[in-house]
Amino acid sequence: MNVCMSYMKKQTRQFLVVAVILALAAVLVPTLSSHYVITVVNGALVFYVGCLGICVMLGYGGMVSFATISFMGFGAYMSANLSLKAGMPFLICMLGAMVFAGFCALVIGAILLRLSGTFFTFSTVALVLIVYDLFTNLRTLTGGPDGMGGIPPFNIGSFVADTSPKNFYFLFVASILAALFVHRLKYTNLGRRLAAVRDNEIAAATMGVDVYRTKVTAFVIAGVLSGLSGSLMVHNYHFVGSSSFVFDQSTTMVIMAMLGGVSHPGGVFLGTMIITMLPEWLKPLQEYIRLFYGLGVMLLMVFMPAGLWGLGEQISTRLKERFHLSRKTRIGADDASPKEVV
Amino acid sequence: MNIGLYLQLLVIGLSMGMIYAILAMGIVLLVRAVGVLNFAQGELFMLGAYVCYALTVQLHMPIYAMLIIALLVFVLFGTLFMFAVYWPLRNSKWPATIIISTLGASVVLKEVVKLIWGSVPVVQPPIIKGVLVMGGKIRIEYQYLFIIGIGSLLIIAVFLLFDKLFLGRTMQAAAQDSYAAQLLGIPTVITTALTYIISASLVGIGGWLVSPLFLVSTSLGSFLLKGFAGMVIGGLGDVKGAVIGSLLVGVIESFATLFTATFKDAVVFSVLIIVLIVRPTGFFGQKISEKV
Repeated sequence: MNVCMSYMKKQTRQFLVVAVILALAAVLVPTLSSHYVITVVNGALVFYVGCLGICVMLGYGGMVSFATISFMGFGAYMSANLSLKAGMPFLICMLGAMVFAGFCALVIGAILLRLSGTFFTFSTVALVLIVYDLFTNLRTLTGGPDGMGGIPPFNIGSFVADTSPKNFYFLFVASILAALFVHRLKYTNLGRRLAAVRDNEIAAATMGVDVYRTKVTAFVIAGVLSGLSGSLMVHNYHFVGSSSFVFDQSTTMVIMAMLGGVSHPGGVFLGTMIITMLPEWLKPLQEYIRLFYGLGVMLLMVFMPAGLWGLGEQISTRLKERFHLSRKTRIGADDASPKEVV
Repeated sequence: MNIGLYLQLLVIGLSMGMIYAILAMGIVLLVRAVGVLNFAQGELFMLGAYVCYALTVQLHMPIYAMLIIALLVFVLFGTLFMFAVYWPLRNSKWPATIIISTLGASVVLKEVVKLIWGSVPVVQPPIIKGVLVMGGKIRIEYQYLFIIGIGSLLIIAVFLLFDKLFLGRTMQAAAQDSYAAQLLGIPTVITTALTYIISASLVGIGGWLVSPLFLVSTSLGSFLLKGFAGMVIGGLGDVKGAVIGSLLVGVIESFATLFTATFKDAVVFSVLIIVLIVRPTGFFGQKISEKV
C-alpha cells in the first residue's frame, strides 16, 4: 500500500510540474518575446504536431517513414479548399483535414505496409515524390507551385486570431492536446502492441499481435496528426504552396524528431525547437546549415541514438544513483516497485 | 506504325534501364551484405558524376588515366563511407539508426558537393560523340548505345564475381551469416568493405555514364528512386530480379513519354504501387528470411 501511494504521488508530482511549466509558458512567451520570435515559435509548433506523428511511427513503432510531409500536404490543401471555396469555419476545416489525411493514410498505409522495414521506408520516399508531383500539377485543386493565398485565420466563433500572439494560443493548445494524446498512447493497448512490434516482430506475431493491423493503425494516427499539422500551417501562414512539401522538408522533420529523442513527446518538442531556432542563431553560417544537420545526424546516431531526452534520462538516473535518491539504491529497497513501461 | 520512333524509345529506355539497374544492384548488394538500405546511394551516384567531371573537364585528363583515378577515388570513398556510416553502428540495438545515419551522409555529401562545385549544374561533353542514323529518320546517339554496352559489361562482371570467383562466394557467405563466416575464418571486415567498394564503384561509373545526358547537378540523387522501383518490381533482395526490374522500369518510363511528359515519374511509381498491391515480393522475389 505504501509502495502504491508513493508511486501515485510521483505521477501527480510530475503532472503538476509539467502543468505549471506549460501555464508559465502560455503566459510568458507571448508577452515577453518580440513579434519575430513569436512567429518563429509558431512555425516550430506547426511542425511539432507533424513530428509527433513521427514520434508514434518511429519512436513507438520503430518504422522509419518519410510520408509525414505528404499527409501534411493533404491536410493543408483540404483545409485550404474547405475554407476558401466552401467557406467553412476553422474547426470544420481542421476536422476535415484530419479526416481526409487519415483516410489517405489508411489507403496508402494498407498498400505500403505490405513491404517490410527498410523497403517500406524507401516506398514512403517514393510516395513523397509522387505526391509532390501531384501537388505541383493539379492546379485546380492546389494552385500548383503558385499556391493558394488569402486563407482565413484561426477562429472559434467570434475569437479571430489576427495577430501572431493569438496564433500562438491556438497552436499552443493544439500542440498540448496532440502531445497529451501521443503521451497517453504509449500506455494503451495499441502502444504496447506497437512496442512489441518494434522490438521483435516475429515474437510479437507469435504472441498474437496482428502486426499488419497495428502498423497500419500507427500509420493512420501519424497521418491524422500530420493532417492536423497541415491545417494549422495553412491557417497560420494564410498561404499554401507546393514547394513546402518537398522531400528535404521531410528529412528535416525526421531529424527534428530524432534530435530531441524520438520516443518521447517532450523530446520531440526539444528537437523541433532547436532545429527551428538554429537558422536564426547561426545566421552568418546560413549556407553551411544543412551540412551541419547531416554531420550532426551522423554523430547523433553514433553517440546519442536516443536523442537529447535519452541523454537527459541517462544523466538523471546516474545522478540519482550517485546520490542515492533512487528507490532502487536506497537501503532496504525491495523489488516490488512497479517499473515504467519503456 | 512508326517503327523508328519505337526503336529510339526502346534504346533510350534500355539505356536508362541499365543506369537504374546499376543503381539497383548497388542497393541490393548492400542490403544482402549488411541488411540496411543505403539512402546515400543516389549521392554516391552524383559524386561519381562530379568526380568524373572534375577529372575530364577541370583537369583535362585523357580518358584512360581518368578511369583509373576515378576508380581509385571510388574505392577510397567506399571504404570511408563504410567506416563513417556502418562500422560504428553495426551492433546497435535499433536498425533504424543506420538508415538515419545514411540519410545524414546523403545530406552531407550533397552539401559538400554544392560547396565545392557550386549549385549551378555543369555540362559534361559526351563520352562518345556522334549519332547513329538509320534509314534517314532514326537518330540514336552513340552515348545511349555506349551506356547499354558498359552497363551490360558491369552486370556480367558482377554476376561472374559472385558466381564463379572464390572471392564472390566468400562475400556471399559473409552476407548470409556473418557469425558463421567469422567462425570459418572469413574476415567480415574485409568482405563488408569490399561490398561497399563494389557498390560505390558501380554507382560511380553509373554517374559517369549518365552525366553527358543529364547535366551534372546535385539533383542526380533522385535517380535512386527509379532504381529502387526497379528493385521492388523485380523482386526484393535478388540481384537478377533487380536488373530485370530496372530494365523494365527504364522501358516503361521511356514509352510513357508517348502519353505524358509531366507525369512520367508518376507513371513509373504507379506501376510500382500496382506491383506492390498485386505481388509484394516482386516477380523474382525470394523472401529474405529473418532470423528470430
